[in-house]
Amino acid sequence: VKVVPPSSGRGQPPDVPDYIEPIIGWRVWYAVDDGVGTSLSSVVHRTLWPRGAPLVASCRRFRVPLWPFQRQRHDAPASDCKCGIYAVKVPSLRLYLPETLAWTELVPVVGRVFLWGSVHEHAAGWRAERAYPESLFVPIAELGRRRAIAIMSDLSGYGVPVQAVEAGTADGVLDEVSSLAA
Amino acid sequence: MELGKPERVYTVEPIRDPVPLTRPDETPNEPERRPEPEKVPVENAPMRTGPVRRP
Repeated sequence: VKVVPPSSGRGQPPDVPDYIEPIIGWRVWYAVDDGVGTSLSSVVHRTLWPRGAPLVASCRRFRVPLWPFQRQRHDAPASDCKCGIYAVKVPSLRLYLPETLAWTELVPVVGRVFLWGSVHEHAAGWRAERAYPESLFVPIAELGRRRAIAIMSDLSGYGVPVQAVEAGTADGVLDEVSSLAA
Repeated sequence: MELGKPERVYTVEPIRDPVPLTRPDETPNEPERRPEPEKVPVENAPMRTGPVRRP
């Protein structure tokens, strides 16, 4: 009797995901005027986050012509690179908010974000291949009423809950957001 | 942005799309139209079998 091992059918094992629910991390964005309305922008690379579609990561290092350490084009995130869409765990979120919230042009927005695809977990957060906001919190203490309403209305176009946060300091915002998100 | 020491890599394939179905950027749906009656080519139209009246 010839015994056929179960894995010898087609040679390659099927690609089985490790998780079937998205990872949820925290982020800070800027609410910026994109010419049509208010969009979310990444803080570092100023990437605009699309509405109704995931943001897909790409590595930008190979695009910089004078970058001294040229890299091969690769999928993002890569293990030997810092590319990917970033999100952090709650204790690290404080590092990305300014001490006082007296901003003018750039309005920080705090929120939770879904992460999926290839995900690299680090001690303080994640680098992901795909991401979309899960919920948004807009600190409105330094915004005029009209501007606050306009920004929140525009951000509702992402189709996720948008809530106002009234605290005027970074610590206060995080306390309020934590209780709202609980 | 520093995330600290890398710990592990995994693949996440959500069974439900994390992107909400409601997409306000899209144009609103057009009002439903009544389906037009199917047009039958003359050569395929059923032949009249009843009596033919004289004009």
